[in-house]
Amino acid sequence: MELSLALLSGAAVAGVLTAGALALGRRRRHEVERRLLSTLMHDLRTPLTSLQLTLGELAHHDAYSPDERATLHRAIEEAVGLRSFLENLQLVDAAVLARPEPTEVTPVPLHEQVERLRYRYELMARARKVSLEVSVVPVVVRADPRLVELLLSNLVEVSLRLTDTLVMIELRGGQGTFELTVSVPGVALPEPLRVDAFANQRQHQDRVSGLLTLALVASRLACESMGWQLLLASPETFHVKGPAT
Amino acid sequence: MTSHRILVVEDDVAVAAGLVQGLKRAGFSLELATTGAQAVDTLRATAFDLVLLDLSLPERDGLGVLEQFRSRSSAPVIVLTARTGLPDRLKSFELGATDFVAKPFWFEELLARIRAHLRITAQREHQVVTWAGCRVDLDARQVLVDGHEVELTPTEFSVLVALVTNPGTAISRDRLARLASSHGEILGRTIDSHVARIRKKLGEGANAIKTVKAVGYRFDGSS
Repeated sequence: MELSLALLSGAAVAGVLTAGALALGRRRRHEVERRLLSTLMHDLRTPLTSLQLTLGELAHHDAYSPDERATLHRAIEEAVGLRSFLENLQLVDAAVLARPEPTEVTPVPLHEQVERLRYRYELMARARKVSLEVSVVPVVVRADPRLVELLLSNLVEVSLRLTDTLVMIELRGGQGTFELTVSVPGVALPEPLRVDAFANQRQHQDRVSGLLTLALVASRLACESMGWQLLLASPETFHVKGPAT
Repeated sequence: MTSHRILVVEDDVAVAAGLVQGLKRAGFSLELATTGAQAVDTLRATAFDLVLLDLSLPERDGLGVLEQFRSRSSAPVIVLTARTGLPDRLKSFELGATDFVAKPFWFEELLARIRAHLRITAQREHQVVTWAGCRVDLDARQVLVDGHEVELTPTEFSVLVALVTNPGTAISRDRLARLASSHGEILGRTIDSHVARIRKKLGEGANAIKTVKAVGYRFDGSS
């Protein structure tokens, strides 16, 4: 270090030190930001659980007026959205800082994860009077189960928000690959979201579009980190493809 | 109407109330512990069919509760936690958690998981495998060698179960790891050291675990 400093002029030394200090400052700032986000996530998870359990309990009662039921349904949708927002924000933030969370590559029965979506989105689907049709064959992939869960949840949730009738999820497998499609027949992803659907987060006029975009960006990042392909096969169909064991 | 007994270990009053209400409505018989120490005492005194366990608990961390519980029971334990990072997830499985559910969750999904684990447990109950002085009780998670109990770690026990429940079948290390771990917490490359430790503990019975060259292992014991 001393030798290399001696070879540099005074001005160059000052420049190197300033750049080094800036880089160190930036790293520390990112670290602080990340810790803050992580603490926030942790502290929000428990109250959100309580909120979801309460909404689930309320949804089992019948004695509501149409207005009260509509209010309950809005609250359920907001809770679903908030949960996804938390998960997606963590992934996107880590990607922006170029410091991805450590991943766990393990055999994941994809069909079981897809089946679980029925339960995860049962309340929201019921509130919107949307049917979830699931068709699966047994498929095992090697991936991080958290990323798989996030990806599947995002695609189904975005689809649920686009339709008022039906979301179809189909998982096919064979010859070392799998294909998953999530589609909302006859309903298209809105035009502004269709262009570069999975590109980085953009500014949106309305909050729902912002949430959908965050979900799509996080889905892309999840697919990229698992080496899977994600595309908008048609305006109403998400298509995921990857290797299966 | 099911009468399965479930212990809910949760310190957050609102979450605990939501769980208790929902599970009662689903027909389960419940007890609630709100601290780690209370959970350990309750688990020591009463048998449960399933445990829902938060990790961040006052007095004693949930991982400590899990470790202690696993040494005496094979009942399924579903970890419910806001600590969603990889280290907590892996540690939970290493200590014998059956499932890991990150908060926030929807009750319907939790209920589906509870029912699935209880169904699997019911199918497995009272399975015992014996050979060459060894006795493995899959339900009690107990191993006896010449009538004396030997202690296996949760991972060693899972690997042994995967072997003895597939007699006469050559199992690759990767497949053995998959069979022995519900969520991939055991890696194929670590199987050799787990098997070596199991063999040491089984005495004569270890001869039934054959190494299959370039593949993995095969259990050749007979009941």
